[in-house]
Amino acid sequence: MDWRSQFEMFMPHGMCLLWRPELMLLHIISDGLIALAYFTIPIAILRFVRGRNDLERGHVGLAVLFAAFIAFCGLTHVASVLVLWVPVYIIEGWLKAATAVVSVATAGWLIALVPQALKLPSVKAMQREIVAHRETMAALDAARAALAAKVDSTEGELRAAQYELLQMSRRTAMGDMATTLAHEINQPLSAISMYLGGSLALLKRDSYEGPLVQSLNFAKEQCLRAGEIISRARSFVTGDDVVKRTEKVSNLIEEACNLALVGARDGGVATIIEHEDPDIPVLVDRVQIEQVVVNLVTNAMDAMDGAQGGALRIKTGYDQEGMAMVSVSDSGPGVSPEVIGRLFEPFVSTKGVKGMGVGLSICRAIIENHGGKIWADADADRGATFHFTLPPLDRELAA
Amino acid sequence: MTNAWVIHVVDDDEPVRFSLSFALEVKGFRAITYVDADDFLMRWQTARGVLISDIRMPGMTGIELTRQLRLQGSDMPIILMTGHPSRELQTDAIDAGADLVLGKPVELEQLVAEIGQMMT
Repeated sequence: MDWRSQFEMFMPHGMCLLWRPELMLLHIISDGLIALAYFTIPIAILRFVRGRNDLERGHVGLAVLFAAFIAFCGLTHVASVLVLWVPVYIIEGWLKAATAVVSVATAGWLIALVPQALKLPSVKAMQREIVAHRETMAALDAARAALAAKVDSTEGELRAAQYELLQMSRRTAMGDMATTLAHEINQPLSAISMYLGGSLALLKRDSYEGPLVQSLNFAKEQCLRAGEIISRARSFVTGDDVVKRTEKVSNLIEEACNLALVGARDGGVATIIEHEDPDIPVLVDRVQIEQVVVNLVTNAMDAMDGAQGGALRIKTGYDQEGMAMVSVSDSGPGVSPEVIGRLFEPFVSTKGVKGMGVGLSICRAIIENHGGKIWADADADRGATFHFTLPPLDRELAA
Repeated sequence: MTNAWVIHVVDDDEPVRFSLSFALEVKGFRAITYVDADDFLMRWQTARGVLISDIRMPGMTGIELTRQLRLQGSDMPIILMTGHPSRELQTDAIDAGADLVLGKPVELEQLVAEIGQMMT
Protein backbone atom coordinates (compact mmCIF):
# COMPACT_ATOMS: atom_id res chain seq x y z
CA MET A 1 0.00 0.00 0.00
CA ASP A 2 1.42 3.38 -1.02
CA TRP A 3 1.52 5.55 2.08
CA ARG A 4 1.15 8.72 -0.02
CA SER A 5 -2.18 7.54 -1.50
CA GLN A 6 -3.70 7.35 1.99
CA PHE A 7 -4.37 11.09 1.84
CA GLU A 8 -6.67 10.49 -1.16
CA MET A 9 -8.08 7.15 -0.03
CA PHE A 10 -9.20 7.93 3.55
CA MET A 11 -11.14 10.60 5.29
CA PRO A 12 -9.82 12.39 8.34
CA HIS A 13 -11.09 10.92 11.64
CA GLY A 14 -12.73 14.31 12.42
CA MET A 15 -15.34 13.49 9.91
CA CYS A 16 -16.41 10.49 11.97
CA LEU A 17 -16.92 12.95 14.79
CA LEU A 18 -18.92 15.15 12.37
CA TRP A 19 -16.37 17.91 13.10
CA ARG A 20 -18.32 18.59 16.25
CA PRO A 21 -16.13 21.00 18.14
CA GLU A 22 -16.85 19.73 21.66
CA LEU A 23 -16.20 16.11 20.68
CA MET A 24 -13.08 17.13 18.77
CA LEU A 25 -11.86 19.11 21.77
CA LEU A 26 -12.55 16.20 24.13
CA HIS A 27 -10.40 13.86 22.00
CA ILE A 28 -7.68 16.44 21.36
CA ILE A 29 -7.30 17.39 25.04
CA SER A 30 -7.53 13.81 26.36
CA ASP A 31 -5.08 12.34 23.83
CA GLY A 32 -2.81 15.38 24.21
CA LEU A 33 -2.64 15.06 27.99
CA ILE A 34 -2.11 11.28 27.80
CA ALA A 35 0.71 11.84 25.28
CA LEU A 36 2.25 14.52 27.46
CA ALA A 37 2.14 12.22 30.49
CA TYR A 38 3.48 9.32 28.41
CA PHE A 39 6.45 11.43 27.28
CA THR A 40 7.15 12.70 30.79
CA ILE A 41 7.20 9.27 32.41
CA PRO A 42 10.12 7.96 30.22
CA ILE A 43 12.10 11.13 30.95
CA ALA A 44 11.59 10.51 34.68
CA ILE A 45 12.56 6.83 34.29
CA LEU A 46 15.71 7.69 32.31
CA ARG A 47 16.70 10.36 34.81
CA PHE A 48 16.24 7.78 37.63
CA VAL A 49 18.38 5.24 35.76
CA ARG A 50 21.13 7.80 35.12
CA GLY A 51 21.02 8.99 38.72
CA ARG A 52 21.26 5.50 40.23
CA ASN A 53 24.62 4.05 39.28
CA ASP A 54 24.15 1.00 41.53
CA LEU A 55 21.54 -0.67 39.31
CA GLU A 56 22.23 -4.03 37.72
CA ARG A 57 22.72 -4.07 33.98
CA GLY A 58 19.53 -6.16 33.39
CA HIS A 59 17.45 -3.74 35.44
CA VAL A 60 18.78 -0.78 33.44
CA GLY A 61 17.78 -2.57 30.20
CA LEU A 62 14.28 -3.25 31.54
CA ALA A 63 13.89 0.39 32.62
CA VAL A 64 14.98 1.64 29.17
CA LEU A 65 12.56 -0.81 27.48
CA PHE A 66 9.78 0.30 29.84
CA ALA A 67 10.50 3.95 29.01
CA ALA A 68 10.41 3.14 25.27
CA PHE A 69 7.12 1.29 25.68
CA ILE A 70 5.49 4.28 27.38
CA ALA A 71 6.98 6.72 24.86
CA PHE A 72 5.55 4.62 22.02
CA CYS A 73 2.16 4.64 23.73
CA GLY A 74 2.47 8.43 23.87
CA LEU A 75 3.23 8.51 20.12
CA THR A 76 0.06 6.50 19.34
CA HIS A 77 -1.97 9.16 21.17
CA VAL A 78 -0.21 11.93 19.19
CA ALA A 79 -1.16 9.99 16.03
CA SER A 80 -4.77 9.79 17.25
CA VAL A 81 -4.88 13.60 17.45
CA LEU A 82 -3.19 13.93 14.05
CA VAL A 83 -5.63 11.63 12.25
CA LEU A 84 -8.49 13.87 13.31
CA TRP A 85 -7.41 16.14 10.43
CA VAL A 86 -4.80 14.14 8.46
CA PRO A 87 -5.79 10.58 7.53
CA VAL A 88 -2.34 8.96 8.09
CA TYR A 89 -3.93 5.66 9.19
CA ILE A 90 -1.14 3.58 7.68
CA ILE A 91 1.55 5.43 9.65
CA GLU A 92 -0.67 5.21 12.76
CA GLY A 93 -1.11 1.50 12.19
CA TRP A 94 2.64 0.88 11.91
CA LEU A 95 3.20 3.04 14.93
CA LYS A 96 0.75 0.86 16.87
CA ALA A 97 2.47 -2.25 15.53
CA ALA A 98 5.82 -0.96 16.79
CA THR A 99 4.21 -0.07 20.13
CA ALA A 100 2.73 -3.57 20.28
CA VAL A 101 6.17 -5.15 19.75
CA VAL A 102 7.77 -3.02 22.46
CA SER A 103 4.77 -3.59 24.82
CA VAL A 104 4.83 -7.36 24.38
CA ALA A 105 8.59 -7.46 24.90
CA THR A 106 8.24 -5.33 28.05
CA ALA A 107 5.34 -7.47 29.34
CA GLY A 108 7.29 -10.67 28.68
CA TRP A 109 10.37 -9.36 30.46
CA LEU A 110 8.26 -8.17 33.42
CA ILE A 111 6.47 -11.52 33.77
CA ALA A 112 9.80 -13.31 33.71
CA LEU A 113 10.99 -10.98 36.47
CA VAL A 114 8.02 -11.62 38.81
CA PRO A 115 9.53 -14.59 40.74
CA GLN A 116 12.74 -12.60 41.25
CA ALA A 117 10.74 -9.52 42.28
CA LEU A 118 8.78 -11.58 44.78
CA LYS A 119 12.01 -12.50 46.50
CA LEU A 120 12.96 -8.84 47.01
CA PRO A 121 12.46 -7.79 50.63
CA SER A 122 9.84 -5.17 51.31
CA VAL A 123 10.85 -1.73 52.63
CA LYS A 124 9.55 -2.70 56.09
CA ALA A 125 11.58 -5.89 56.03
CA MET A 126 14.60 -3.87 54.93
CA GLN A 127 14.04 -1.41 57.75
CA ARG A 128 13.75 -4.26 60.24
CA GLU A 129 16.95 -5.69 58.81
CA ILE A 130 18.69 -2.34 59.12
CA VAL A 131 17.59 -1.97 62.74
CA ALA A 132 18.77 -5.51 63.50
CA HIS A 133 22.05 -4.78 61.72
CA ARG A 134 22.54 -1.58 63.70
CA GLU A 135 21.85 -3.44 66.94
CA THR A 136 24.38 -6.12 65.97
CA MET A 137 26.95 -3.44 65.16
CA ALA A 138 26.31 -1.72 68.50
CA ALA A 139 26.66 -5.04 70.33
CA LEU A 140 29.88 -5.70 68.42
CA ASP A 141 31.24 -2.26 69.31
CA ALA A 142 30.37 -2.85 72.97
CA ALA A 143 32.04 -6.27 72.88
CA ARG A 144 35.11 -4.75 71.24
CA ALA A 145 35.25 -2.01 73.88
CA ALA A 146 34.82 -4.59 76.66
CA LEU A 147 37.60 -6.69 75.15
CA ALA A 148 39.89 -3.66 74.88
CA ALA A 149 39.13 -2.77 78.51
CA LYS A 150 39.84 -6.36 79.56
CA VAL A 151 43.13 -6.37 77.63
CA ASP A 152 44.02 -3.05 79.31
CA SER A 153 43.17 -4.35 82.76
CA THR A 154 45.02 -7.62 82.15
CA GLU A 155 48.05 -5.62 81.01
CA GLY A 156 47.72 -3.49 84.13
CA GLU A 157 47.54 -6.58 86.34
CA LEU A 158 50.54 -8.05 84.55
CA ARG A 159 52.54 -4.86 85.06
CA ALA A 160 51.53 -4.77 88.73
CA ALA A 161 52.57 -8.42 89.15
CA GLN A 162 55.91 -7.75 87.43
CA TYR A 163 56.47 -4.72 89.68
CA GLU A 164 55.62 -6.77 92.77
CA LEU A 165 57.98 -9.54 91.61
CA LEU A 166 60.75 -7.01 91.07
CA GLN A 167 60.13 -5.50 94.50
CA MET A 168 60.15 -8.96 96.08
CA SER A 169 63.43 -9.90 94.42
CA ARG A 170 64.91 -6.55 95.51
CA ARG A 171 63.70 -7.11 99.06
CA THR A 172 65.07 -10.66 99.02
CA ALA A 173 68.44 -9.45 97.67
CA MET A 174 68.57 -6.70 100.30
CA GLY A 175 67.52 -9.18 103.00
CA ASP A 176 70.21 -11.68 101.97
CA MET A 177 72.79 -8.94 101.90
CA ALA A 178 71.76 -7.65 105.32
CA THR A 179 71.84 -11.16 106.80
CA THR A 180 75.31 -11.86 105.39
CA LEU A 181 76.54 -8.48 106.58
CA ALA A 182 75.06 -9.02 110.07
CA HIS A 183 76.75 -12.42 110.32
CA GLU A 184 80.12 -11.16 109.07
CA ILE A 185 80.17 -8.13 111.38
CA ASN A 186 78.78 -9.91 114.42
CA GLN A 187 81.53 -12.55 114.28
CA PRO A 188 84.39 -10.10 115.09
CA LEU A 189 82.11 -8.22 117.51
CA SER A 190 81.52 -11.52 119.26
CA ALA A 191 85.25 -12.14 119.54
CA ILE A 192 85.85 -8.58 120.82
CA SER A 193 83.11 -8.98 123.42
CA MET A 194 84.59 -12.30 124.64
CA TYR A 195 88.17 -10.93 124.81
CA LEU A 196 86.93 -7.89 126.74
CA GLY A 197 84.81 -10.07 129.04
CA GLY A 198 87.76 -12.42 129.60
CA SER A 199 90.12 -9.50 130.26
CA LEU A 200 87.72 -8.00 132.79
CA ALA A 201 87.39 -11.40 134.47
CA LEU A 202 91.21 -11.66 134.60
CA LEU A 203 91.49 -8.21 136.21
CA LYS A 204 88.79 -9.14 138.69
CA ARG A 205 90.57 -12.39 139.51
CA ASP A 206 93.74 -10.40 140.20
CA SER A 207 91.73 -7.91 142.28
CA TYR A 208 92.67 -5.02 139.97
CA GLU A 209 90.32 -2.08 140.36
CA GLY A 210 92.11 0.64 138.35
CA PRO A 211 90.80 2.75 135.48
CA LEU A 212 91.41 -0.10 133.00
CA VAL A 213 88.27 -1.82 134.32
CA GLN A 214 86.14 1.18 133.39
CA SER A 215 87.74 1.55 129.95
CA LEU A 216 87.24 -2.12 129.18
CA ASN A 217 83.63 -1.91 130.39
CA PHE A 218 83.02 1.08 128.08
CA ALA A 219 84.61 -0.81 125.19
CA LYS A 220 82.37 -3.81 125.93
CA GLU A 221 79.25 -1.62 126.00
CA GLN A 222 80.16 -0.06 122.65
CA CYS A 223 80.75 -3.49 121.19
CA LEU A 224 77.30 -4.64 122.30
CA ARG A 225 75.83 -1.37 120.95
CA ALA A 226 77.39 -2.03 117.55
CA GLY A 227 75.76 -5.46 117.59
CA GLU A 228 72.43 -3.82 118.45
CA ILE A 229 72.76 -1.42 115.47
CA ILE A 230 73.55 -4.26 113.09
CA SER A 231 70.58 -6.26 114.31
CA ARG A 232 68.30 -3.21 113.99
CA ALA A 233 69.53 -2.46 110.46
CA ARG A 234 68.89 -6.05 109.47
CA SER A 235 65.37 -6.05 110.82
CA PHE A 236 64.71 -2.78 108.90
CA VAL A 237 65.32 -4.67 105.72
CA THR A 238 63.86 -8.08 106.44
CA GLY A 239 60.85 -6.85 108.40
CA ASP A 240 61.68 -9.14 111.37
CA ASP A 241 60.87 -7.98 114.87
CA VAL A 242 58.87 -4.95 113.74
CA VAL A 243 56.88 -3.37 116.56
CA LYS A 244 53.94 -1.40 115.16
CA ARG A 245 52.07 1.08 117.33
CA THR A 246 49.66 3.94 116.66
CA GLU A 247 51.65 7.13 116.16
CA LYS A 248 50.89 10.64 114.90
CA VAL A 249 52.75 11.58 111.73
CA SER A 250 53.56 15.04 113.11
CA ASN A 251 55.18 13.53 116.25
CA LEU A 252 57.30 11.16 114.15
CA ILE A 253 58.53 14.08 112.05
CA GLU A 254 59.32 16.30 115.04
CA GLU A 255 61.25 13.56 116.85
CA ALA A 256 63.15 12.50 113.74
CA CYS A 257 64.06 16.14 113.03
CA ASN A 258 65.35 16.55 116.58
CA LEU A 259 67.68 13.61 115.89
CA ALA A 260 68.68 14.57 112.36
CA LEU A 261 69.12 18.30 112.84
CA VAL A 262 71.38 18.19 115.91
CA GLY A 263 73.97 20.85 115.25
CA ALA A 264 72.51 21.68 111.86
CA ARG A 265 70.13 24.43 112.93
CA ASP A 266 72.91 27.02 113.08
CA GLY A 267 74.37 26.09 109.70
CA GLY A 268 72.54 28.73 107.67
CA VAL A 269 69.80 26.41 106.47
CA ALA A 270 66.22 27.41 107.28
CA THR A 271 63.98 24.56 108.39
CA ILE A 272 60.25 24.86 107.70
CA ILE A 273 57.89 22.15 108.97
CA GLU A 274 54.22 22.38 107.94
CA HIS A 275 51.53 20.00 109.16
CA GLU A 276 48.35 20.16 107.08
CA ASP A 277 46.75 18.12 109.88
CA PRO A 278 48.74 17.55 113.11
CA ASP A 279 46.69 14.48 114.12
CA ILE A 280 47.08 11.98 111.26
CA PRO A 281 47.24 8.53 112.95
CA VAL A 282 49.33 5.72 111.42
CA LEU A 283 50.20 2.21 112.57
CA VAL A 284 53.99 2.02 112.30
CA ASP A 285 57.27 0.94 113.87
CA ARG A 286 58.28 4.35 115.23
CA VAL A 287 62.03 3.68 115.15
CA GLN A 288 61.89 2.53 111.53
CA ILE A 289 59.82 5.44 110.22
CA GLU A 290 61.96 7.92 112.15
CA GLN A 291 64.97 6.23 110.56
CA VAL A 292 63.46 6.97 107.11
CA VAL A 293 62.82 10.63 108.00
CA VAL A 294 66.32 10.99 109.50
CA ASN A 295 67.75 9.53 106.30
CA LEU A 296 65.78 11.88 104.03
CA VAL A 297 66.57 14.92 106.17
CA THR A 298 70.28 14.02 106.35
CA ASN A 299 70.38 13.56 102.57
CA ALA A 300 68.66 16.95 102.10
CA MET A 301 71.18 18.65 104.40
CA ASP A 302 74.08 16.93 102.60
CA ALA A 303 72.66 18.11 99.25
CA MET A 304 72.65 21.74 100.46
CA ASP A 305 76.02 21.26 102.15
CA GLY A 306 75.22 23.93 104.76
CA ALA A 307 74.86 26.60 102.07
CA GLN A 308 73.72 29.99 103.35
CA GLY A 309 70.14 30.70 102.36
CA GLY A 310 69.32 27.02 101.88
CA ALA A 311 65.87 25.81 102.86
CA LEU A 312 64.72 22.45 104.17
CA ARG A 313 60.95 22.11 103.90
CA ILE A 314 58.99 19.22 105.42
CA LYS A 315 55.27 18.93 104.74
CA THR A 316 52.83 16.39 106.11
CA GLY A 317 49.25 15.83 104.94
CA TYR A 318 47.28 13.54 102.70
CA ASP A 319 47.79 12.60 99.05
CA GLN A 320 44.99 12.41 96.45
CA GLU A 321 44.20 8.81 97.39
CA GLY A 322 43.82 9.65 101.08
CA MET A 323 47.17 8.16 102.14
CA ALA A 324 49.18 10.00 104.78
CA MET A 325 52.02 11.73 102.93
CA VAL A 326 55.33 13.24 104.03
CA SER A 327 57.39 15.39 101.65
CA VAL A 328 60.97 16.48 102.32
CA SER A 329 62.30 19.20 99.96
CA ASP A 330 65.70 20.80 99.76
CA SER A 331 67.13 23.72 97.80
CA GLY A 332 70.23 21.81 96.72
CA PRO A 333 71.33 21.14 93.14
CA GLY A 334 68.57 18.53 92.57
CA VAL A 335 68.93 15.08 91.05
CA SER A 336 69.45 14.36 87.35
CA PRO A 337 66.53 12.64 85.58
CA GLU A 338 68.77 9.64 84.70
CA VAL A 339 69.51 8.94 88.36
CA ILE A 340 66.13 9.85 89.87
CA GLY A 341 64.42 6.61 88.74
CA ARG A 342 67.21 4.44 90.21
CA LEU A 343 67.76 6.31 93.49
CA PHE A 344 66.00 3.64 95.53
CA GLU A 345 68.03 0.74 94.11
CA PRO A 346 70.83 -0.57 96.34
CA PHE A 347 74.30 0.91 95.79
CA VAL A 348 73.13 3.92 93.74
CA SER A 349 74.59 7.06 95.33
CA THR A 350 75.00 10.68 94.30
CA LYS A 351 77.36 11.38 97.19
CA GLY A 352 80.50 9.97 95.54
CA VAL A 353 82.84 8.38 98.05
CA LYS A 354 80.70 9.65 100.95
CA GLY A 355 77.74 7.40 100.25
CA MET A 356 77.28 3.67 99.96
CA GLY A 357 73.89 4.06 98.34
CA VAL A 358 72.02 1.76 100.70
CA GLY A 359 70.16 4.40 102.77
CA LEU A 360 67.34 5.01 100.30
CA SER A 361 66.99 1.33 99.41
CA ILE A 362 66.55 0.57 103.13
CA CYS A 363 64.04 3.47 103.33
CA ARG A 364 62.12 1.91 100.48
CA ALA A 365 62.13 -1.52 102.13
CA ILE A 366 60.81 0.03 105.36
CA ILE A 367 58.08 2.10 103.66
CA GLU A 368 56.95 -0.81 101.48
CA ASN A 369 56.89 -3.13 104.50
CA HIS A 370 54.47 -0.58 106.00
CA GLY A 371 52.25 -0.65 102.89
CA GLY A 372 53.35 2.75 101.55
CA LYS A 373 55.32 4.12 98.63
CA ILE A 374 58.42 6.29 98.37
CA TRP A 375 59.55 8.34 95.37
CA ALA A 376 61.51 11.45 94.38
CA ASP A 377 60.77 14.50 92.21
CA ALA A 378 63.40 16.82 90.80
CA ASP A 379 62.02 20.31 91.35
CA ALA A 380 61.60 22.42 88.24
CA ASP A 381 63.60 25.34 89.62
CA ARG A 382 66.08 23.95 92.13
CA GLY A 383 66.42 21.13 94.62
CA ALA A 384 64.79 17.77 95.04
CA THR A 385 61.67 16.57 96.86
CA PHE A 386 61.28 13.11 98.40
CA HIS A 387 57.80 11.88 99.25
CA PHE A 388 56.59 8.83 101.11
CA THR A 389 53.11 7.63 101.98
CA LEU A 390 51.70 5.46 104.77
CA PRO A 391 48.22 3.98 105.10
CA PRO A 392 46.34 6.14 107.62
CA LEU A 393 44.43 4.61 110.52
CA ASP A 394 40.77 5.26 111.09
CA ARG A 395 40.72 8.23 113.50
CA GLU A 396 38.08 6.68 115.74
CA LEU A 397 39.92 3.36 115.91
CA ALA A 398 43.15 5.18 116.69
CA ALA A 399 41.59 7.28 119.45
CA MET B 1 87.89 -21.82 140.43
CA THR B 2 87.75 -24.96 138.33
CA ASN B 3 84.67 -26.50 136.83
CA ALA B 4 84.62 -30.22 136.05
CA TRP B 5 82.31 -29.58 133.15
CA VAL B 6 83.75 -29.18 129.67
CA ILE B 7 82.52 -26.47 127.30
CA HIS B 8 82.64 -27.65 123.68
CA VAL B 9 82.98 -24.63 121.39
CA VAL B 10 82.13 -25.22 117.71
CA ASP B 11 82.69 -22.25 115.38
CA ASP B 12 84.33 -21.99 111.96
CA ASP B 13 85.59 -18.48 112.82
CA GLU B 14 88.96 -18.76 114.57
CA PRO B 15 88.87 -15.45 116.54
CA VAL B 16 85.42 -16.38 117.86
CA ARG B 17 86.68 -19.83 118.91
CA PHE B 18 89.81 -18.50 120.57
CA SER B 19 88.06 -15.62 122.33
CA LEU B 20 85.36 -17.92 123.72
CA SER B 21 87.92 -20.45 124.86
CA PHE B 22 90.06 -17.69 126.47
CA ALA B 23 87.11 -16.06 128.28
CA LEU B 24 85.59 -19.36 129.46
CA GLU B 25 88.95 -20.59 130.76
CA VAL B 26 89.44 -17.34 132.67
CA LYS B 27 86.02 -18.10 134.16
CA GLY B 28 87.32 -21.49 135.26
CA PHE B 29 85.82 -23.78 132.61
CA ARG B 30 87.70 -26.25 130.49
CA ALA B 31 87.02 -25.32 126.87
CA ILE B 32 87.62 -27.54 123.84
CA THR B 33 87.32 -25.96 120.40
CA TYR B 34 86.22 -27.54 117.12
CA VAL B 35 86.45 -26.01 113.61
CA ASP B 36 83.09 -27.36 112.46
CA ALA B 37 80.30 -29.85 113.22
CA ASP B 38 82.13 -32.82 111.64
CA ASP B 39 85.22 -32.07 113.69
CA PHE B 40 83.07 -32.10 116.83
CA LEU B 41 81.29 -35.35 115.93
CA MET B 42 84.68 -37.02 115.29
CA ARG B 43 86.46 -35.89 118.46
CA TRP B 44 83.62 -35.49 120.92
CA GLN B 45 83.71 -37.84 123.87
CA THR B 46 80.69 -38.45 125.98
CA ALA B 47 81.77 -36.53 128.99
CA ARG B 48 79.71 -34.09 131.02
CA GLY B 49 79.63 -30.77 129.29
CA VAL B 50 77.84 -28.03 127.45
CA LEU B 51 77.92 -27.51 123.68
CA ILE B 52 78.18 -23.94 122.35
CA SER B 53 77.91 -23.92 118.56
CA ASP B 54 77.59 -21.35 115.82
CA ILE B 55 74.55 -21.88 113.57
CA ARG B 56 75.85 -20.71 110.20
CA MET B 57 78.86 -22.83 109.34
CA PRO B 58 80.21 -24.50 106.19
CA GLY B 59 78.95 -28.10 105.94
CA MET B 60 76.62 -29.12 108.75
CA THR B 61 74.88 -26.18 110.46
CA GLY B 62 74.53 -25.83 114.23
CA ILE B 63 70.84 -26.73 113.95
CA GLU B 64 71.60 -29.93 111.99
CA LEU B 65 74.29 -30.85 114.52
CA THR B 66 71.78 -30.37 117.38
CA ARG B 67 69.19 -32.54 115.58
CA GLN B 68 71.78 -35.30 115.06
CA LEU B 69 72.93 -35.28 118.70
CA ARG B 70 69.32 -35.48 119.91
CA LEU B 71 68.71 -38.39 117.50
CA GLN B 72 71.74 -40.14 119.01
CA GLY B 73 70.05 -39.74 122.40
CA SER B 74 72.36 -37.06 123.83
CA ASP B 75 70.81 -34.82 126.48
CA MET B 76 73.84 -32.50 126.66
CA PRO B 77 72.79 -28.83 127.11
CA ILE B 78 73.16 -27.03 123.76
CA ILE B 79 73.53 -23.27 123.27
CA LEU B 80 73.36 -22.10 119.66
CA MET B 81 74.81 -18.71 118.74
CA THR B 82 74.08 -16.71 115.64
CA GLY B 83 75.08 -13.41 114.12
CA HIS B 84 71.62 -12.99 112.59
CA PRO B 85 68.95 -14.03 115.07
CA SER B 86 65.36 -14.16 113.84
CA ARG B 87 62.13 -15.66 115.14
CA GLU B 88 62.24 -18.30 112.41
CA LEU B 89 65.78 -19.37 113.25
CA GLN B 90 64.95 -19.41 116.96
CA THR B 91 61.94 -21.68 116.34
CA ASP B 92 63.97 -24.02 114.11
CA ALA B 93 66.74 -24.26 116.71
CA ILE B 94 64.38 -25.00 119.62
CA ASP B 95 62.46 -27.54 117.47
CA ALA B 96 65.75 -29.29 116.69
CA GLY B 97 66.39 -29.65 120.43
CA ALA B 98 68.57 -26.66 121.35
CA ASP B 99 68.16 -25.34 124.90
CA LEU B 100 68.99 -21.72 124.11
CA VAL B 101 69.65 -19.42 121.14
CA LEU B 102 71.86 -16.35 121.70
CA GLY B 103 72.48 -13.49 119.27
CA LYS B 104 76.11 -12.47 118.76
CA PRO B 105 77.81 -10.53 120.21
CA VAL B 106 77.17 -12.16 123.59
CA GLU B 107 78.26 -10.72 126.91
CA LEU B 108 80.53 -13.13 128.82
CA GLU B 109 78.72 -12.69 132.15
CA GLN B 110 75.38 -13.53 130.51
CA LEU B 111 76.85 -16.61 128.86
CA VAL B 112 78.40 -17.81 132.10
CA ALA B 113 75.09 -17.27 133.92
CA GLU B 114 73.26 -19.35 131.30
CA ILE B 115 75.86 -22.14 131.50
CA GLY B 116 75.61 -22.03 135.29
CA GLN B 117 71.85 -22.58 135.09
CA MET B 118 72.29 -25.52 132.76
CA MET B 119 74.74 -27.22 135.06
CA THR B 120 72.36 -27.24 137.99
